Amino acid sequence: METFFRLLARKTGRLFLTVFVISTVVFFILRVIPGDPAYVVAGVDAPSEAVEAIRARLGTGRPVLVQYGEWLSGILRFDFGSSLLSEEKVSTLILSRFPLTLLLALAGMGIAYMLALPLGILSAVKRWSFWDYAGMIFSQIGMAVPSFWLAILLLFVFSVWLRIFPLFGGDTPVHLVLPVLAMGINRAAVLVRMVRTSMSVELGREYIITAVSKGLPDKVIRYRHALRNALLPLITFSGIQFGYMLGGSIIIEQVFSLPGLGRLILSAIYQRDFPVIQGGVIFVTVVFCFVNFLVDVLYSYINPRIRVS
Amino acid sequence: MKTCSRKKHHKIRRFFFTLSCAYLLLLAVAALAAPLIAPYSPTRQFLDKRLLEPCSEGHLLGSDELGRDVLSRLIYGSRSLLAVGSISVSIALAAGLLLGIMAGLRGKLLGGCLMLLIDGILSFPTVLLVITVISLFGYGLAQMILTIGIVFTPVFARIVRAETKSLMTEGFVESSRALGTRRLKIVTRHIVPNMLPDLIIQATILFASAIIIEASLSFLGLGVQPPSPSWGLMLKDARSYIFQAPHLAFIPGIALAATVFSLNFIGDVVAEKLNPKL
Amino acid sequence: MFLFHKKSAKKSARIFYLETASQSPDKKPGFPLQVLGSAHALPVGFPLQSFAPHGQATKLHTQFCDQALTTHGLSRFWNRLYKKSFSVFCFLVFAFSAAAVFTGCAEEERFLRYALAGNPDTLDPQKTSGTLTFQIAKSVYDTLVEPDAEGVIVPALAESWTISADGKLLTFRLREGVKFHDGSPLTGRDVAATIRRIQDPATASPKAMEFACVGEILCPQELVVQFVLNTPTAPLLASLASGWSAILPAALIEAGHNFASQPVGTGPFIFDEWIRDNHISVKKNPAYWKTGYPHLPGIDFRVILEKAVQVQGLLTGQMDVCDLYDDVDVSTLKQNPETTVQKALTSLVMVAAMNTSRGPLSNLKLRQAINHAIDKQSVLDIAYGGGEPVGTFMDYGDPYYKDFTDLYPYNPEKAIDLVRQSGVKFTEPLDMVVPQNYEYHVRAAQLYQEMLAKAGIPVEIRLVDWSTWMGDVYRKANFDITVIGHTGKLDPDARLGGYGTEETYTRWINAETVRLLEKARTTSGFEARKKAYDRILEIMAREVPFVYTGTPYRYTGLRSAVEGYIMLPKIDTPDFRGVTLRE
Repeated sequence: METFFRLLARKTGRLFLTVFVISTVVFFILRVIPGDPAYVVAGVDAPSEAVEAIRARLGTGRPVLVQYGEWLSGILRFDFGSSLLSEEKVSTLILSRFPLTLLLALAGMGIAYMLALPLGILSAVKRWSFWDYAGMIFSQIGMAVPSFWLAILLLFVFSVWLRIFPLFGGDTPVHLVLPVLAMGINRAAVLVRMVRTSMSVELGREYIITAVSKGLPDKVIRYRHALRNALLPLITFSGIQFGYMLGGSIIIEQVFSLPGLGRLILSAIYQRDFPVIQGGVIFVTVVFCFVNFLVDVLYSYINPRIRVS
Repeated sequence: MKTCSRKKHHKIRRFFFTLSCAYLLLLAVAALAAPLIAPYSPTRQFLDKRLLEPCSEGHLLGSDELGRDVLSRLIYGSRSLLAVGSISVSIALAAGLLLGIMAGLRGKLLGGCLMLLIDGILSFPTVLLVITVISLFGYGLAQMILTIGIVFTPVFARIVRAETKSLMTEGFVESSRALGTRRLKIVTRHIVPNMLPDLIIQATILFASAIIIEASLSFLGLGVQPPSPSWGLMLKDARSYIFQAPHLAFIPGIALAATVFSLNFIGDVVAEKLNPKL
Repeated sequence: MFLFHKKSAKKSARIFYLETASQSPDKKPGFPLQVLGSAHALPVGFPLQSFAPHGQATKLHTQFCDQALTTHGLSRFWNRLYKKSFSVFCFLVFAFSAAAVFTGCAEEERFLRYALAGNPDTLDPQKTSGTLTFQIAKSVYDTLVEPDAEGVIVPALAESWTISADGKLLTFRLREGVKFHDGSPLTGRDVAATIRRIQDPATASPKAMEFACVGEILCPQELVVQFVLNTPTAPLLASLASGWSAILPAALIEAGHNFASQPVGTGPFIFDEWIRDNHISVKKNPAYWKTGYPHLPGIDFRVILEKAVQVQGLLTGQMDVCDLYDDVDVSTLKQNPETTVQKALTSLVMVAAMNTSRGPLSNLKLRQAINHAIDKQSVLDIAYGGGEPVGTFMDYGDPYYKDFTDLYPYNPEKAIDLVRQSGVKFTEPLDMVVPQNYEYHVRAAQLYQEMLAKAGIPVEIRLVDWSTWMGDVYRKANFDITVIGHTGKLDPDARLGGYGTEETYTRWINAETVRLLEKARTTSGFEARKKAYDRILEIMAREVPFVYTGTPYRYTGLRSAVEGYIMLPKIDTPDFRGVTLRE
């Protein structure tokens, strides 16, 4: 228990440092990029007096360090400010968008595991069989196809030719099938290889040889002994997958016009909506670090080897 | 039975390996000799011949929405493709080596700070990172190469740091240190050569990643500047016509997928050679 | 699933020893080395930190042992989850398909589905200049006066108005019985509060300057409101008819209501819901002042970014109205019996603006050469889906439009000749800046580039995002040529105001234009104003700070069921009041 708390404390400390570094870097990058949100609000044809008035209202004309200090003190009070354009609280915006992205990431991961586990295990168990080739071809092609292209392809086939799924929107679960597939297949391609490698490494270990020599049935050896150990590294991998999904969802959300977190941040970058970008960046970093922390804990909980140490 | 299919497997593997190498070689040749091979200039517009189907007269792979020859654009596009992949990975490799060795050799303070920065960058979705950094530099081929290079640097830096740390404790390094060899010499003589295989494998993978990032950025409209021929840009322009002229999206898409496939496959084989247990 | 169905009979477990080398750089649980080796198969965007071979120092030995010590937590958990997950998955697939069927048919009187090309920043009409906002604002809010289908200003919330002889007093008589969506009645105080809000520096409205001429606002009676002007200002009426003059309830303005996300107006539709980046829905206002309107039960504005998806949505019946930008799409939709295409002239002027303050483009001859070098009709046809060339800075359908297309017709030989006469030697290519979010401008830029190259004028395209364009290009004039479209205006002053001074992005300076603009602003009467504007347009046509490419057509794709859809000219805003959905 004590080690757990120490781990927690260390991870939290590191998380704060990481967030601080990332948010500071992003803050100053944003102030250097050309383009002031005041210009965007003012639009074409507004005289420069109007631009000045808008800049005063948005507060983007003040010295950068003053803005930084203000923003930092806001964060310490868990106040991420309000969007410069829609005047909504950044925290509200992010929390309203996050569930969809989370759902996409989780469901995508679910699909990826559902595809990758059987295929990967079969490939490892029956090496150089039809399944092995199927698995390898699937993973190689899956990795080679950019996810946006796959998304467009899926739209083309399922929404235009076959007309099974709707083209856009995110209101009902039906709308999420294609985006989830687009994300899942891409991930599954990577996972198949992970499962295959990890499983075949496990199958080559001494204890398997011992088990075989003891005359245990093949199935018991494969699925009870080898598989369990082979799945362990996949837990850590899941954490990274999740991070990838959070980032990769930007492009998928763009193709399927889904109102997720990625698009919120992307359009905020285009519009220079500074508080939203900063808040979004912090949120994504925290979520990512938190998930990886959870994965670490879960891993050490499940894996007796780690607990011993 | 197993040994038999293992042989067959090696045959198939070798076949794909040869195919991948041949494809990449073809790309390199196309990139170098583009003006000699390509039937037209990649930016030449035939305004009366827009959106031609493949196998049309004079345009083997058809033409795009501005009447430009798809084949010529494809051939010239391999130039920016290879430039993005090789230069950005080289930048990342050089910077990653420097930072990683520094972090690995130096004391806690500098090493810790470097690692914090590296971890910070890595704990952030790459797509978002690339978009943020590229808005700083502006859009364009050179800017994109630089951005991808910067984004990949921490990946190398982390590997290099870990390897440096573990290599420094190895017997041959320690004995060399005991003999009073200078640190720089140890690094160039022992450390760098020993981590090279891992770095080469990582480089092939990142090469492939760079290509996909280029395409994704172009898809979001943040990539190479038109009218420069780039496969990512071709894909982006084609998506408005995906339902009327699907070949515009399929041709560069397949070419791109084949490139990534080849790189990954070669990376695989090399990795297997270096680590026969897999 | 088939992998797990067999319950194994015997419990067995392994004891693992972990030898963590003391010099392990990271104490994090890592992969066995072999697995790490395979991690190279990483695709884009892959956060790679956990792949560093820190696990390398962790040597793993496993020993097989017969006696059960621990039950393997993971695999039991996994076993259960995996078995269930398949049935859950099957159920979900079934549920999804069922839902798809039901959402398809369970509708009585449905909302009109309108494709929006992007998410509006705000629904507060006084804090933005975004076209997307006004496309929706028109249905939620009303203005005192409004343009009709021909662009003529007609009564709306004001049933009549008078302008005093000296042009300094505007009197509006408001319609009786108009109610805001919150139930409060419309009075002169609401109008006064709205105009004050626009003028208030705290609001920082981009359009505040248009109302700078308004001094006192009087409410002599409940339903009468009077504007006392400092100077007679002809364009004011047009400003009052524009989306940004939408009348808001005074009580809510005082209470600091957030109109940006909770709009309250008097409009034909009541704001219902806005899921950002997804959709905005509005439902019928049964108490709308224009009796019998609107016909629709509501409108669903759908944000769809991909144009191809919009068009396919229309073809497959998932969308009722969308704008088209491509002649390929137009012909596809025309062939489909379930869809129709409406064609109308927009009020846009598509231009390639030139920065006359720096470099070779300060040379008039070179600007003329550029104008001769560009085949405007081809650019309109290929990049903008067809249109009418204009020759000056006014859209083709405007009453103030005057034809100057003969001044610089497409003539590549003359262009080459003029480049030679100008004596300009190009040391570096001209910097052509294009906003990357407008695909048709990017396409037009490539056409311009090719045409200019033929005339011996080297041009390099530089894409920037919209924020950079607004700041760096439009405000700070850091460009040589830029490709853009100017939206329609109800009054010519709104389009031309500022030209001839340093204020505008072309940095084109012309004292006569400034003087004539001021004169036209304070003059009333169409004929007198037209005389002044004719002269301004002629100067602009001759001095060519722009390439005036032309006014494009607008193609709107509609499901055949949609009737009565109109786009109001000049403000390019759809009017949904008269729209019906035939079943």
